[in-house]
Amino acid sequence: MDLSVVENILWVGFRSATPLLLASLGEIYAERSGILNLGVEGMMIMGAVSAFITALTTGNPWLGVAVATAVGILMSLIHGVISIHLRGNQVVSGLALTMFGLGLSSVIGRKYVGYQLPVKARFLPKPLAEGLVKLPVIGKALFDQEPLFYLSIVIAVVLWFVLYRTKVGIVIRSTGENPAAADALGINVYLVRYACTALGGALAGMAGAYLSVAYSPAWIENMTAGRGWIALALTIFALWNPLRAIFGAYLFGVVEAGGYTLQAYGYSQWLLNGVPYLLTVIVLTAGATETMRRRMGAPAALGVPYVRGEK
Amino acid sequence: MRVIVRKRVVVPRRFALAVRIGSVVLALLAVAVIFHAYGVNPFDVYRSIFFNAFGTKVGLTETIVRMMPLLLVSAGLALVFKTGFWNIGAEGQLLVGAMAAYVVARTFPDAPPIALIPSMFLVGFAAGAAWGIPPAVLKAKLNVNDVISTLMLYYVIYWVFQHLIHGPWKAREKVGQLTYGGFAHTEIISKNAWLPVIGETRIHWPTLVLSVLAAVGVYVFLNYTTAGYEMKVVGDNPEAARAAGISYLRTVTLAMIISGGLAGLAGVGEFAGIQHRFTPEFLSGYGFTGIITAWLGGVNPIGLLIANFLFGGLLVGGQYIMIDYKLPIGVVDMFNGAILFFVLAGDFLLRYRIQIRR
Repeated sequence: MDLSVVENILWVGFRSATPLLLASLGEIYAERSGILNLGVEGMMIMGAVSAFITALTTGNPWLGVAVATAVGILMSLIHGVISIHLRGNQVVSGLALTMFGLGLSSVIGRKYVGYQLPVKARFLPKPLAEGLVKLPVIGKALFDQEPLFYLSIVIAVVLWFVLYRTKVGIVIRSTGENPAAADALGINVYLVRYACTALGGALAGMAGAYLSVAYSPAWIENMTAGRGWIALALTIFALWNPLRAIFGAYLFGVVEAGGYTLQAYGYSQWLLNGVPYLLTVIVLTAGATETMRRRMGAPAALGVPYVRGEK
Repeated sequence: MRVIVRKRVVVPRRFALAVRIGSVVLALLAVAVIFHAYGVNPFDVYRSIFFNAFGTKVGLTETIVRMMPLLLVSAGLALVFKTGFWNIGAEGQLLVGAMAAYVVARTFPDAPPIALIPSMFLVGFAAGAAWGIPPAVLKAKLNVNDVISTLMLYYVIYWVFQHLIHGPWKAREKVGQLTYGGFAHTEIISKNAWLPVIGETRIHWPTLVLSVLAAVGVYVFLNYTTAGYEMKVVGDNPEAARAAGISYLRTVTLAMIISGGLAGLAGVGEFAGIQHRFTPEFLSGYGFTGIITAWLGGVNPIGLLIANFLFGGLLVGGQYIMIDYKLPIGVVDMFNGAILFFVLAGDFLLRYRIQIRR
């Protein structure tokens, strides 16, 4: 293996990391506010199909991203109403959201199966600066990417800043840790939870848009292929911290990309396909010891509906 | 005017039933709107589903064929859900069970059915259970998220399975003197390993017997044994369980052995009773649909029978509308998701009483 192979693995890996990063950033906020949304896969695939159809009909990929974001929010609000106002079981509701999204997207996208986006309507990798791309090994991976790649990193940094360095962040975190205390301080628990759930939906939708207008610009049923679930695992791996999510997403992306490369050396493509999922379990297991050592668990009220005056 | 929401102490049975039925009806109406927007007449679609699933003799027997694996999977899931552990990977445990049955059938093709068939079920149960144990241990020892670990292990075994049928397990085709590896499927197992069926139907009765036994068995186990009682305590109040000296590890592992094992049996039935060989399309989502029916039916044989019979019918009817109305396979998932949403929403009325005061 020479250097150009490594360079290519990193480039492909950072690309496949982008949807994982976006979706897990959204889930980090939802979970920080106390809402467990297992419907990431469903929101992501709805984002993918709506972005694809929009980009195909209008020729504008950014419009596709906008529509996907809106669709993601709408999807997440179903989960929001059931979890927040109706105090339903969040695990079941999230699973329902995933099933519903996978099913509805296949119905909506039925007429578009096999279509490819024209080049104009896609996001294409564009060198940020010629000099930087020529940097050895990491130049291409970091500086020859689509706009959403850069946007995802900006979003991650902003979300980290808001969560840890602003009052809004304190409000969100206290809502997830102790909603009763937050309520007593005059925080509108329901509003915070709806807002964070909606942000989760928006970013999952955007992640889906990345898949269908940049990563593989076509509509394929179930094209999310479990990425929503990996994003959920990343949320735990990142210890609900947006900056750690960047690291986690790129680790996963690079492993996945490394798998593609190994296919060329005669390893079974089927077994290699399974590696990211096995890695998820291994990483969570390895991360669990650290979580326990540092006593950094999930937000205390994660998945627990809040009712004023009720225990 | 004020709206007051209070927790209910007792839920009248008839009211509970009415709410459940009402929820499903509303879900069907919501999906009808989607069908209408898609451009097909929703009433035609529903009539087609209902008629093809329950209105003909073939439809009814096919509904039972699909009810059997669902019943096995959901009986185990309903039990494990009682402990508060979320097993989302029953599809993988089902697959491992089927793969184990294949290995047994390929290793002893000449064994008499009376020995071969029970062995396949036993080994299938053990294999499904074995695939279910690691998530339970990881959760108990390291607090590794159960939803993620069970689901990820499904993907892992799915790709191992694809590897096997595309490579080591691929059937050798014979053309004259030559043999070569052709399409991605295994050889058909020996007739000795085929499960007996009832008459002209595809109902493989050993699986039917096992599935009904499982639905009754988990009910008896949960309500009439100490281990079952401990599962309820662990699920309702883990702190109290620990204080009372109930081992979380042992309880959840046992629940996963039963749940994974029953899913494994469903896999054996599906493989040895219906398909007799592996193709890339072996799986049909029973492990996922079973999550819904388990949650709807609970640990209650009657509830499980009704829920699985209806969802079995939905799967059969779904196949017809896919062909007749050119709808994608995901249409059944859309139904499942919508029904769950409305049942969840309806549950609110069962748990809380809403009063409006002036």
